[in-house]
Amino acid sequence: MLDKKAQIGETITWVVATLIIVVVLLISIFIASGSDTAKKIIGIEKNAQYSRESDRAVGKSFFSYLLTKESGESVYSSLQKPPEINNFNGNLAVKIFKELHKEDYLKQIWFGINLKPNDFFNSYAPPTHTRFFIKKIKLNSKDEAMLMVAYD
Amino acid sequence: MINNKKTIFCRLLKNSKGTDKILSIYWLAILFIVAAGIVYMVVVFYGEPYDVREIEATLLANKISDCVSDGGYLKSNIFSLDNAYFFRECSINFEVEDFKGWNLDQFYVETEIYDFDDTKNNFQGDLLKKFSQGNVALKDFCSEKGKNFPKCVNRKFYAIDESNNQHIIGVLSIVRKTEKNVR
Repeated sequence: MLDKKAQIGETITWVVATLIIVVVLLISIFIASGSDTAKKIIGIEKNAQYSRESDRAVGKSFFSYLLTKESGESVYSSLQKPPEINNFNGNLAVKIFKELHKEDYLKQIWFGINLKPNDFFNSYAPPTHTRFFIKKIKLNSKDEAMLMVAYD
Repeated sequence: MINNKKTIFCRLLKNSKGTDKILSIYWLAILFIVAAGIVYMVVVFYGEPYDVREIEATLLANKISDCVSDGGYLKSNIFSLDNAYFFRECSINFEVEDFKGWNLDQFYVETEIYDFDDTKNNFQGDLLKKFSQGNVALKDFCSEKGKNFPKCVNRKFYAIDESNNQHIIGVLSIVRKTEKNVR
């Protein structure tokens, strides 16, 4: 009788151990096979895509925009004095950032100073669950011109 | 009495030998399952190559963009450069690894400089300059979707020259290398 009890105890131990081994193995296979959930857990991406965190094309457009002159005054200089965003630099920003780059950044692209709403880009309201990068340049000790690009 | 005890001991010994045998088979089975699982995981994880063609095409496009515009201005001599000299200036060559008969046909790069024309939808005015190199046939596949087709990256950006003339730059870079990136 005592013998039988010992045998049952031992068998249960092995059954549980087997189950644990099988479960751990199945979880590992699930992760390695790169299912969508697993991809989220460990970030496997078989179709690697270039991170847009610092987009070269947008950066180049941004600096060229700041250097563009009208009547001898650059956009950068005009942004330093009120009204910071005027018809010329505001419209040019809309053309370059909202329209030229719209194919690349469908989510949102915003230009302004210190996150203040302006007539050309409204207020900055980032879409939920998006990642974005910022290009900015100091205008004076307290103001910054910012280009915010939601890319994902 | 002593004989009786001996018999019980012998039977227990025989029993434990039987249990050991079963346990050994069990352990062998578990070992086999675990080993097979690990092999399967390695094959699944490393068996399929990573498709890095889009990254490669983007890096190529970035390199070309740097060649065309620097510090916000178009390169001053850009309009006087000829095609071959432009790519030499950029330090770009299209040599590839010796694999499956690849030659200089795995890349294509095209750069176009347009006047900035805000009366047009895409702001592209007159085409002022065009540079291209590589396998032009790859361009036909850009509209196709599917992992077996070459990867195309098409970027545009705004640039000015030192005389404050506004331009739109279009950069198209294409990478094929299908055999190494797709299975």
